Amino acid sequence: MRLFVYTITLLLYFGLLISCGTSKKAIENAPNVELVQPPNGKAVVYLIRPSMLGQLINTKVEIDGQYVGKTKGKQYLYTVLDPGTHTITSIAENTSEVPIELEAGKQYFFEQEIKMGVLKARNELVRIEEKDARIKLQKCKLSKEFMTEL
Amino acid sequence: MKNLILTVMMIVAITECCWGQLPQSVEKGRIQTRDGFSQEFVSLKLEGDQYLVQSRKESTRMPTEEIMRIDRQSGSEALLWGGAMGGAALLGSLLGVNSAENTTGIEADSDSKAAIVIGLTGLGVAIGVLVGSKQKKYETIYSRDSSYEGARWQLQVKPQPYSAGLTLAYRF
Repeated sequence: MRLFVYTITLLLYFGLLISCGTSKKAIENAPNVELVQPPNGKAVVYLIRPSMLGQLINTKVEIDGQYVGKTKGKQYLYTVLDPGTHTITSIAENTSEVPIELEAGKQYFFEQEIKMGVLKARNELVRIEEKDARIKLQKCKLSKEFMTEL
Repeated sequence: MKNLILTVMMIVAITECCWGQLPQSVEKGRIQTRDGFSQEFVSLKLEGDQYLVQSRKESTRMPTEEIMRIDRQSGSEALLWGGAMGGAALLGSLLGVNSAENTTGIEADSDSKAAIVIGLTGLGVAIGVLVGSKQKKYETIYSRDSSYEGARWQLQVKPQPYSAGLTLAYRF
């Protein structure tokens, strides 16, 4: 009987691991979230982590190899950067990098998509549109640890 | 020892040189464009100063100057996941069998114990392979900024708000 309970518990555990994932909603109307406007001759980059998966696990953010801050589940951060080529990096169990050429006066939005990992959560940086970002930002809080400018 | 260091340095140098050159054609992968968006492709062919990008839905042409990075799909993570889940299931089933024996006081025969352990481990491996096979693995074959991307093994000295020290990092 006890073995049966252990087997069922194991199966439920694996089932729970597989079923964890983020759902994508249809986006119609972007909410009016107040965004940081880029200062003169600068660009603003937002990193948003809307998923609750791996809520307490930190994802560290670096830009051009320099530490910018970290996010947990349902958090976001932003940073002001000079225009030009930069590499944005998000580090969890794996490292996800996105090279980008920033233009002055623009806002850029990236989502840290959280996936199941072997020992802890993995992540993937994906650029998203402003409308999509506004919806996700509405559900997130500002991270407690980040640098607003490099 | 000297030869080993020289060989490693040569491999790193050759890899970094390769990452700086645009590939002629690539089957399955993804490209990162200048504006930070990512696009998956089924095939990619270099035609002059443009790439013919064939995705599942359509084929488009993209100037090479728009491309920041090209990643080739290199299988899946089925092996890693199979191993990890199998290991977890093996450990769990061994603990389960021993725990059940100790609490009930009934001595189970070794054949049935082995069957339970093997069965649960097999199930763990199967689930792991299933999960891992859906996770694509990529390797970078071209990067415009090869100096940064090429550094897969990195020895870093970084002052951070709450820590400082040396880090040996491997990017995967």
